[in-house]
Amino acid sequence: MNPVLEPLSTIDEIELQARLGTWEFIAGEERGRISHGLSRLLGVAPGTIPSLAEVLAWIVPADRERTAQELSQAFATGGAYRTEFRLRRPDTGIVITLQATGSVTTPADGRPRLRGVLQDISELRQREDLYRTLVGAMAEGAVVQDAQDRILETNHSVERILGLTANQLRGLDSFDPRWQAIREDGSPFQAGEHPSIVTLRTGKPCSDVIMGVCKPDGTRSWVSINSRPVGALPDGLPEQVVVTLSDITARFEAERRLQQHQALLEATISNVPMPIWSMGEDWIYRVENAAAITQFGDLRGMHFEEHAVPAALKDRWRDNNRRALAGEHVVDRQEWTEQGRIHCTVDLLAPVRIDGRIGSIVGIHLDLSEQAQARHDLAQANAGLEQRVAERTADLAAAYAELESFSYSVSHDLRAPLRAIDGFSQAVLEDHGALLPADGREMLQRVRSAAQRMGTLIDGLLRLSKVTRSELRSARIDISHLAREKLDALAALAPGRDVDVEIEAGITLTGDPDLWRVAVDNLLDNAWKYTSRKPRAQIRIHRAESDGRAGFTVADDGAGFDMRYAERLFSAFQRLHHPDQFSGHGIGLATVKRIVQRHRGTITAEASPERGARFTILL
Amino acid sequence: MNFDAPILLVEDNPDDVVLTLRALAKNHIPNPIHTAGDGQQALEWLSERGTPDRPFPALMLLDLKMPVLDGLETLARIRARPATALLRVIMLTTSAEERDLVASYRRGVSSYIRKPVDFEKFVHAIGAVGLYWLATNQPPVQGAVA
Repeated sequence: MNPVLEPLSTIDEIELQARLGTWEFIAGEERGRISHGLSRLLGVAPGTIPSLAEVLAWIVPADRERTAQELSQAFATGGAYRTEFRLRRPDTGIVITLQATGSVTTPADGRPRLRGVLQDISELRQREDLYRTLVGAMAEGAVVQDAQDRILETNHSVERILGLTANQLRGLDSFDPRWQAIREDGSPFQAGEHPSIVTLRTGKPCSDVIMGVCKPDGTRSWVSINSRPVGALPDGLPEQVVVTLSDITARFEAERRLQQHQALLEATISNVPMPIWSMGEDWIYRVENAAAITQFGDLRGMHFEEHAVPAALKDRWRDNNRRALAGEHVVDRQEWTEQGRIHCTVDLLAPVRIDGRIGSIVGIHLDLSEQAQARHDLAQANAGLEQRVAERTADLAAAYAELESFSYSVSHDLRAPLRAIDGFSQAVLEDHGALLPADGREMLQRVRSAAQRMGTLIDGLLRLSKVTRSELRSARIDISHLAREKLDALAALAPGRDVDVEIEAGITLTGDPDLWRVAVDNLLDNAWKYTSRKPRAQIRIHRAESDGRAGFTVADDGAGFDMRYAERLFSAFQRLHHPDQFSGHGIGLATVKRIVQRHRGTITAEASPERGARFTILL
Repeated sequence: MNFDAPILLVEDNPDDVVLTLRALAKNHIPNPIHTAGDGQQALEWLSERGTPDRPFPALMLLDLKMPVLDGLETLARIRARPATALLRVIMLTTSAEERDLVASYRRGVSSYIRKPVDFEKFVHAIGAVGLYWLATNQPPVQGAVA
C-alpha cells in the first residue's frame, strides 16, 4: 500500500472543497478573469464575468465602502492585502461572508494587476456568532486574558459583576489594585495566587476559587472563578487564559448572615444562665447548654426514658414533650412550698419546624423561686402595712373628730361667758357708772377689753384650726389682686397713714382661694401694723423664684424683729413685740405658715430691728 | 312698720337673755318680747299663736346651741309647719362655723347674726336687725302667714 496520499487532481476540485475562488484584474480593464470556483461563490453562470462595479454593488452596504477603499488602496500602494466582507449573492439573495486576500504585482508590460483569492468563511463566522451569542448570554462572566494577563475580551456579565464597562476592563490585569481582591477569610490575594496567573504560569486550570472584589461604587462582589488555558506558546505555556466568574454575592452574603446568626444563637444559648435543651422526635436529647448540663447532667444522646427523675415529674415532662412534639407551645408552671420556702419553676417547650414538619422540640427551664418568694414576702408585707395603715387611719380619724368637736365647743361655749363679762361690765358702767369712782370705771373698762381680747384670741385659734382642717380646693390665684384689695381696705380704714405701696402685677399661684386670701391678709395686716409708727412707710409685694420654685415676697420697712428669735415667729401665741407697742395675739403668722405648709411650700423671714421685715413664700 | 306683733327670743343662757333684752331696749324696739328657754318651749308657744288677738311673732331670734331641741331642728320644724313656714327667723349665735351657716340657710333661715363679744357691737347688730326686719323689710300679709 502506498502510504502517500494522492493530491486532488485539479484546481477546480481544490476550490470546490475549500470554497475558494480566484480572480485577477488588470488595471485599466473593465472586467478581469475569474475562476469557476469564484463563479460558484458569487452565484453567476460559469463564463460570466461581473464587472468590479457589479461586485461592489453586491457587497452589503455596511461593508461596501470600506471594501472599495481597501481595494483602491491596494492598487495605489501595490502591496498585499487581506480583508473580509459580506456579500449578497445575486442568484439566491443569501448573504455570505468572504475572506479576501490578494496582492498587486506589476509585470514587465508595466500594467499592474491585482490577483486574489476569495474564501467563503460564512460557516466559520456563523459558528463564531453562535459562540459569541452564547458567551454573551451567559449569566457567568467570561474574560479572555493574554499571556501577560491583560484582559482582551469580556462578555456582558463581567461588566455587571465587576461594575466596569468592557472598555474600562480592556487592558487591566489581575494585579490591578482596584480589585482589592480578598479571600473568604478576608485575607488579600497575593500576586501569584490569582487563578488566571496560576493558569498562565502552570498551564493548569483552576476551579471554584472564591474571591471578593471591590466594585467602583465601594460594594464588594463575591465571585467563584474558573480559569482554563488556551493555545500554547513555543515554551508550552498557554497563549491565553479564559476566565469565568460566577457572581455568588447573594449566596455568599446569605451564608455569611446565616453563619453570624448561628454564632449569635450559639453564644446566646451557651451563655444564658437558664437551662436550654433540645430533643428529637426520637425522644433523644440532642442539645444542652452549659446551664442544662450543670442542672440535669449531660443528657446529650440519651433517650428521655433513660433520664432518671422522680416518677411524678417524669410523667409531667413526658406529657409536655408529647404536646410540644404535637405542635403545641407548652408553658408549664409549678409552684410548691418546701420547708417554708416557695419554689416556682416554669418549663417552656416549643416545636421546631423545618419545612412545616416538626423534627424536634426545644425547651427552656426557668427557676423563678426567688421572684415567687419575693412576691410572697412583699404581699405579706403589704398586707401588714395595709393593716397598720387602717389602724393609724382609724386613730387619726378619731383624733380628728375629737379636735373637730373641741373646736366647735370652743367656738360656742368659750365665747358665751366672755360676752356676759363684757356685756354686764358695760351694763354696770351705763347703769351705775355714776356711783363708781373714776378708777373703778377704768377697771371695768379693763375687764371689758380683756374679755374682747380673749374673744379675738379664740377667733384666731379657730381660724388656725380651720386652716389645718379644711379641705383644699385648687384654683389659679391672683396674689397681686388679693394684695391690692387688702391694702385698699387697710388704707380706707386709716386715712391718715402715708404708705408707699408697690405691687408687682400678675403674681399668680395655684392653691385654695380662701386660704390664700387669709395668708395674704395676715401678712399685709402685719406689714401695715408694724409700719404704723413710720411717718412714711413702704410695703412691697414682688414675685420670688428660687431653685425652680416660684412664689412671692412681702417686704416692709417697719419695726422688723431680731433674727435671733426668728424661729419663734411662726409658732402660735409667740410674739416678738410687747402689746403696748403693737397689739396682736400671735396667731397670724402661725396661720400663714400652716397655709403655706398645706400647699407644700416654705415661708422664710428676714429682718432686723427697725429696718423692716421680708417674708418669702415659695411653692 | 311692724312694732305691734311680739318678738320671740329663744335662748337658753340667762346672761344672753338679759343682754339681748338690754340691746333691744337700747335700740328702742317697742315690740313685746317673749322668751323661750329652748326650741321645744318655742314650738309650744308658737302652736298657740295665729289668732287675731294672739298673732305670730314679727321676728324670731333663735339661738343655735340649746338643750332639748337645738336651733337647727327648731328651725326645720317651723319651716315644715305651713302656718309658720314663712316666719322671719334670725339665727343669733356664737358660732361662726361654716357648717352651721350652711345648715341654717339650707333650712331656710332669714338672717344669720354672729353675736360679737364686744357688747357695743352687739347692740349695734341688734339695732340693724330691728331696723331692717321690723321697719325696712316688707313681710307677707298676716293672712298669708296664717
